Amino acid sequence: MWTWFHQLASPPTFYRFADVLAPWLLGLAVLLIGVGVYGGLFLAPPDYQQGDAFRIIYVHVPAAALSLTIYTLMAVAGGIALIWRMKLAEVAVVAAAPVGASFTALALVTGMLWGKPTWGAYWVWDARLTSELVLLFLYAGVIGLNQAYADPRAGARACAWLALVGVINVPIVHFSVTWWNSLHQGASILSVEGIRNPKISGDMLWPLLVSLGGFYLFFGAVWLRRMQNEVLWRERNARWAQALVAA
Amino acid sequence: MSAAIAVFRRELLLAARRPAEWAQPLVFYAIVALLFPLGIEAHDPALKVFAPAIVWVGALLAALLGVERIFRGDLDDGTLEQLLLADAPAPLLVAAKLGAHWLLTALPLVVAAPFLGIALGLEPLAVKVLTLSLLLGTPTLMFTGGFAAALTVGAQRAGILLPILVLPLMTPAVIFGGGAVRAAASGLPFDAPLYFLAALLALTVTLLPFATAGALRNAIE
Amino acid sequence: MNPKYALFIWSSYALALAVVLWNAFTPHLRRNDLKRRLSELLEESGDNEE
Repeated sequence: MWTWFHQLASPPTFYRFADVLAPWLLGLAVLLIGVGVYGGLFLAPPDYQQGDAFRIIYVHVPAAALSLTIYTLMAVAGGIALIWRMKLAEVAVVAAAPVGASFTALALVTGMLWGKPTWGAYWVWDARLTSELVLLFLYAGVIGLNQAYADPRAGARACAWLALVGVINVPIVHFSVTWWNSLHQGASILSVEGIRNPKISGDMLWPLLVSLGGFYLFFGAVWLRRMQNEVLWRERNARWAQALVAA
Repeated sequence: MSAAIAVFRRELLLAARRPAEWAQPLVFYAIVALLFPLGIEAHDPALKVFAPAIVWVGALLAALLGVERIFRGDLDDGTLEQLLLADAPAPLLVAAKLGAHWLLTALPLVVAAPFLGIALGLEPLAVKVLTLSLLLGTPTLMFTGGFAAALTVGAQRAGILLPILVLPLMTPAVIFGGGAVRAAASGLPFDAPLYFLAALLALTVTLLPFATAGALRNAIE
Repeated sequence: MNPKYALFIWSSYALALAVVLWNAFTPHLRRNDLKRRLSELLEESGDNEE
């Protein structure tokens, strides 16, 4: 199995592997997101307190969860890139950042649209919202840092360092609702307590889980595609890349 | 260890030759803090409410001023390579350099803080907490700024990237620093934010030099 | 429920769709762009070799 992993680190092998896997991930993702969104909008019953406004949860929670997961994966890839000097890990760091940034922005905006009907305010400077905003700036920093370097490898490694140092923000965002008095809802689903004694009813929960799964698979497909592009550009002088382009 | 002391002393020596350079942040700080009362009417009570934020943000901006230059000179004349090639552990030397920089750039800000605090209408207890919070918080700002400077020093097209990189990393210090002073000004307990600042200090001073040295190594390769 | 909030819900889903489409199509467009640029580069070097 390690041989397979080792082979995967070679750019042309990875490129072919991603070409095979990505369409499946994308197809399955679209299916799950479609089912989740349909269930969330039309099948789940309205909330006793919030009415229909709570339905934003089906896009807000996946976006927020993804914003954190993507950053964590980016940091892990960064660690691998720095320790083992693996080219593909460097590519993974750089490829993840724009995707993560877009989901962070989505989480913030959908959060604002949800906050207005339920809290009466678009924005409050509490721990959860502020740290999520900081996360957006960290992503922007990674993107900007990569573009500032002329040498893509050095740039990706600098981004890896930034990703590693910034990853401390991820647990802060997640635990902010527990550690501080926050207007934002506590961790009612994605916590040990939330899994043991769910406070959300089943018919509201299933579209969320399906939607969540769909978005995660979607990220996988997009990440692979972005990595392929990055690899193609970096290896443009290699024979396999030129053969691919000429075809 | 002697290498670290040597690096430390070199920083001080270099700065002594160009005193204007390290006086700039201090002057900037004073100007920024004193501009605010000019923008509000003379005895507006709002000034006292915003004073903690004004002094803290002023300190942050002033500290940011000199950060770009920390490693640029060394990169250009080859000292950086020597630092990283030395026997002594690079993180230690980086910490020595940043420590010297703190002494030159941030310590004057801490000393000036009480005067600015009083000028902005803070009470004695708030002024004391302000000074203590800056004493605890400015090393964090300096070491975080140093890390961001190390990331951008190797970049060819950095532009104003450095402030964008460093501000998200500095927000916790500003939040707790300002929070401590606000609590003191309102008569509430202020130890929790101060402890947080101390924790940030411990974390950044011990761990960031490793990341900074790594980023510097990346810059010269 | 205030009818304005129905707009908020639909806007959230529309924004989510926009993000999904952006993420799905930007790599695709970039790939086409890359292939075009690289094949041009290939042609140039092919001409230079002759």
